[in-house]
Amino acid sequence: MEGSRLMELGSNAFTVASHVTLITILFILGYRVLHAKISGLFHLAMDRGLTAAIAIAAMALALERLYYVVARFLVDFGVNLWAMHPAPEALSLVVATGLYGIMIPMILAEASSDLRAWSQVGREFICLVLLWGLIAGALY
Amino acid sequence: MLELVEDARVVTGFIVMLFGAAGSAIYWLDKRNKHAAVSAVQGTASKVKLIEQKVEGVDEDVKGVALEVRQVKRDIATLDGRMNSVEKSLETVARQRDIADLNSELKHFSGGVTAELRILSGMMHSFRESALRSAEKGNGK
Repeated sequence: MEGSRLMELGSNAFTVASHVTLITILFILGYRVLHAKISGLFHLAMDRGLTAAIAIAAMALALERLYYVVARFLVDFGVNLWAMHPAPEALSLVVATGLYGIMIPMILAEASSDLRAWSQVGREFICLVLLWGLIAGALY
Repeated sequence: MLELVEDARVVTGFIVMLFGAAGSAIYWLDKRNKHAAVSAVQGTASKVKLIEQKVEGVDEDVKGVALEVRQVKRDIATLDGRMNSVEKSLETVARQRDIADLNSELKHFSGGVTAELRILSGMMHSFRESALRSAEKGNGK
């Protein structure tokens, strides 16, 4: 592949793939939130646990930021948390899961049945994993 | 302590565990709050039902009152009709002015009658005198 020849980022490729996947999720989330507002889905989604999902996403972001705050303090003790793979990737995964989790109540509210909603979640999850794998494979 | 932090697997495991625990706690709290809200709504629902029954009772009472009010209205309407007929009949009854006119006319009439009677009595008097005189003349013959 052209990408693999141009950029050999090593384990940083996973971090880049994680970030790109996260950005993709944020774009999808932004679109879904606007769409939910237009179609008036928020009340239905609220019944399906939208508030908890938002709280979990906020907590995941807080956890990620906290990790980097701790990393600043530990760098003086010779511990480099930035390079401690796969911990940054796990953090990215946590944030991505949290942000994607916001969409699950919306999908549940919009779908005609729970089974269809969960199959859609599964399909999107597979697509995101494929995207992550593609970027990581191209840049590694 | 620092040795634990130096192990990447421990750090990663800690992150994932923390996220899982905090996420589950938030989800559980949300579920519990929702359950509490639902049970609170159910609790107030029985009270609402009681109030509803009371309101239904009041509604029936109001219906009865409405029937009575309708009856009273009907009575008032018939009374109004009667009043109208009384007013109409009162219009045909002579008024004070008419009576005054009649009174003055009567006075005038009675004055006229008195005058006529006076004239008549005068005439009667003169008749009687002339009769007496003619009788005296006859006796004298």
